[in-house]
Amino acid sequence: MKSFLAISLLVNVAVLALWLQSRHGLSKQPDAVAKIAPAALASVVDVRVDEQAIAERVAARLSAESASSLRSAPTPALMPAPSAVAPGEPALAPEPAPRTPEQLEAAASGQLKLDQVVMKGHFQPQDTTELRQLSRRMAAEDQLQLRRQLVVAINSGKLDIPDPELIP
Amino acid sequence: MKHLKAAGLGLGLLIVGLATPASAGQASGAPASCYKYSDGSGYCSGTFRGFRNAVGSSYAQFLAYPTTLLAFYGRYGTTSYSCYRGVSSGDDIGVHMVERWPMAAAPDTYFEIDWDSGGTCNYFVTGTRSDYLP
Repeated sequence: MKSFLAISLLVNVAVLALWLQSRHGLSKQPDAVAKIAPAALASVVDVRVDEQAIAERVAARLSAESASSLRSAPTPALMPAPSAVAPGEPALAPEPAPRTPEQLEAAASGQLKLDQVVMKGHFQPQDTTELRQLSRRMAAEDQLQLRRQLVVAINSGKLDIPDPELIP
Repeated sequence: MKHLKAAGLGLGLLIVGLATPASAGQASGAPASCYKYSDGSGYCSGTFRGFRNAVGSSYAQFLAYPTTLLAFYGRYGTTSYSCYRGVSSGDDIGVHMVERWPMAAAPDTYFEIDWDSGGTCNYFVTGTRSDYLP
């Protein structure tokens, strides 16, 4: 056991000595490093030149391949005409179907009725009944807008609905 | 002797009074509240039972109109609150609301509905808690 410890100690000391010597040696030979540097730089330059040459060869090959693919590919279908939307902007929503005369009349009457109710600040039963009937005849988009205006009026304090029965 | 009887009666009444909950008729823990911020956004939360038993003419109503239009109407105390949402395909939040809207109808299911300054419902959660049960 003692001999094992002694041997391991000797080995560790030897390794330490070699390490110290190597560091000491490098620090004592800056000229050697300076001599190595230009060669290293030259090799880096050579590598850069090689990379450039490689890039040029790749570009040439790609252009040749694309030219051959253009000759062999079928004629693509005509692309649709570009829209008025600039790149990166969301596409325009499809336009809703045109309203029927009944829908237009219902939307106009519903708007008028809602304005009257907001002016009063509350619903009366006949207001609710009328607005429910009108909204059923409206186009979906107009129904949505009517609800939006109703909600905004409620949340802004302009309209109060104390009885849920009066909700249109 | 009369004083003793009166004291005993008073003590008995006191014991009965203490045993009776102050909010008799309201489910234990049934919450209800609404809040509105200055820009019009806000939220309502609670259970249907909580709104039914809350102060004033409070209520909460969830409506689903044709063509996937959802609307919430609520009232807490003397103030009305509301939000809406038109749901279309790709509207994940809206689809979530459509699927879970009916859950809020259970009397002791907790819900929270939030809306933005434009009145669009933008957050909806439902859940249950043991202390919300009557």
